[in-house]
Amino acid sequence: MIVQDNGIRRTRHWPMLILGMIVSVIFLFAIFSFQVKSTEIAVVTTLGKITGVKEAGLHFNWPWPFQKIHKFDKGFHCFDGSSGKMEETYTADGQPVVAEIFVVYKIVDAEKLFKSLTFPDISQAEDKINSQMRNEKTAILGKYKFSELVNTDPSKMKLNEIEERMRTGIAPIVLEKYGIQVESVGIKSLGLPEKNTGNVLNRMKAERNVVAEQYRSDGKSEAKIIKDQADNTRKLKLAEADARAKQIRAEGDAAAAGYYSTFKEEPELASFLRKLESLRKIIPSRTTMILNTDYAPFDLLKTEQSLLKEKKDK
Amino acid sequence: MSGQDKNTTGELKDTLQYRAGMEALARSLHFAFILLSCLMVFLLIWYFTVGGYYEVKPQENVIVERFGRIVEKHEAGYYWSFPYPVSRLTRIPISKQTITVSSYWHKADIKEIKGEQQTVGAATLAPGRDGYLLTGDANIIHTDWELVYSITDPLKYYVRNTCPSDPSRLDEIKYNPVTGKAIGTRGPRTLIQSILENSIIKITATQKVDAALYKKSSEYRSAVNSLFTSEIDKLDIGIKVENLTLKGNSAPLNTVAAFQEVIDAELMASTEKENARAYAVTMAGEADSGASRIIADAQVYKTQIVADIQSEQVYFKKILEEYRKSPRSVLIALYSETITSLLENVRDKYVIPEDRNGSHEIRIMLNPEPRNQKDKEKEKQ
Repeated sequence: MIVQDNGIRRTRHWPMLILGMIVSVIFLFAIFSFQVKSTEIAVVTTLGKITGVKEAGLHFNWPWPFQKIHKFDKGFHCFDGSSGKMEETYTADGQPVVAEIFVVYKIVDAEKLFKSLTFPDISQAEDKINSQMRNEKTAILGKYKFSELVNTDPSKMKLNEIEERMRTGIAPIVLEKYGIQVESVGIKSLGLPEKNTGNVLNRMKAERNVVAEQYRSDGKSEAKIIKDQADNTRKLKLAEADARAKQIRAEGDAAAAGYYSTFKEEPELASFLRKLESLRKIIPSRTTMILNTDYAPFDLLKTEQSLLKEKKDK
Repeated sequence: MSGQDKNTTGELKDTLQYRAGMEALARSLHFAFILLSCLMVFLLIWYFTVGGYYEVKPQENVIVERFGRIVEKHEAGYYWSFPYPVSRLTRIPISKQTITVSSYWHKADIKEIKGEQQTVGAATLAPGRDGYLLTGDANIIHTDWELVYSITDPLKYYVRNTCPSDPSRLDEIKYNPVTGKAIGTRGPRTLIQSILENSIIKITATQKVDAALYKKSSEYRSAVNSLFTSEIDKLDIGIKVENLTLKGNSAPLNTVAAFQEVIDAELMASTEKENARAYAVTMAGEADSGASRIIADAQVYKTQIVADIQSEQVYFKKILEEYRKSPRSVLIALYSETITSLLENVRDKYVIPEDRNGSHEIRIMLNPEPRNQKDKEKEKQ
């Protein structure tokens, strides 16, 4: 700003000074402060010594090289092992298995963690956790039979128990040594050594053949049972119908018998008429009949027919 | 003008030139200073006004941290906040996220068989190379899964997980600071995938191979989904499982033919049973119709016999009247009438006369030659 003072031009720099001061304050603020995010926890070292652990917020510090800030994520970490994670181990019944596990952990004591590391990176702690994971995995799996790892009866499958025992084995040590809290341990792959898988595949093929044969056999036998039952049912129904029919016929015969009293008036005639009726019904067409001349009217064919003879005599 | 005057004039000229130069420099610096000041003022004004505006898209939430502390969470809209480094904005996606778990899927080899490219399974499966699962009956299967989830609580998701610097991106690959080798990923997706893999292993370890592959694959998927959801809820990391899909399930390639044979056998058995059931239905129908026919016949018989006997009764009464008048004539007439009508229908009639001894002799040729076609036609005519 330029002002006239007794005719002399003078430049006043205070606005610029204020501006410069603001900028300086910002720079100083940036140099002498640091922020820790809500997801982080920070360890402050002063000339190599841990002088504080800072939670989320704005904090002041001496600039490098006097103080250093080491930040760690404090959320859940999921670590599935590094070296040796696919190594072979044995169950209690001597079955070789290849199991891969993971741990879910979070940092609860950053100072302890920092002290345990030679350089401030969580991967170094994970390497140490990894050796603990390998030990526990081998030890715990060795106490369970293979049938307790996989079983069609869920009550006999003990993977949950195995994981919990691994966790209780790993967690206290890791917490004590590294300030890391293991939330859970899980199995993320469970298999067999390569040499064993070939046998399993062959067994599976053989089992499939048995199952296929069983299906065929069951299909045939069940089909036969169904057919037999159907036949029996049919026979039963027809037999019942026959019985019922007999009853109906008997009813008919009984009803008919009521009319037979009429025939008692002349039983011989009734019998004769019955016989004639029977003849009509019994003898079908295209029948070959061989008769002798004893029967009327063929008795007329006799040479000594009595009636003709009588006429002749007359 | 003397020489001294000349020197004085020269010095004065130099001095004036120097002063003019200095004044020009001062003016330039002054101008630059003013420009810089304006720029700084502009930056300050921009910082406290326009620079703090930001947009939140519908498919995300923004978490605002002021000096490291979470102060607010914004949903879709337009907001203002102090720019970095005072405030830090973290964008959390709330749209549906997808994770594909192919850790247990087979690694097929493609070979040419009979002129065709076909997938061929290896005779053995190597851990780490071939993904597979062990079933409860100690068989091997392959499965392929797809998880869809959404972040329902962005604050929890951000605070409780180790999120990458940009949570909308995939988890960051972590490298060993000493060796420089990649040692895996760290982040919420890695955690979610591990929990899902764990659930898949546990449920598969209780399943029969047939159930997991064919018969109860839907229940199998539901069981995995249920276990996974409960595990995720226990962790309380602000996500919700939207859908879990069993994209693929397969027997080991090396055993697929054997499994197919079982399916064929099952189909065949099922077909046989269905045919038997169809036979049973037919038989039941036949039995019903046969039974009703038998009963109907009996009913007819019953009706007929009564009707017959009634008609016979009437007939008998009428004949009886005539019979009483002339018994023999009536009998002979009836007998002759009957014999005549019978013999009309009889094809071959042989009357054997008495020989002299009063006896009848008949000779029958057994097993006669069958009638030929001509005889039959004659008969028809």
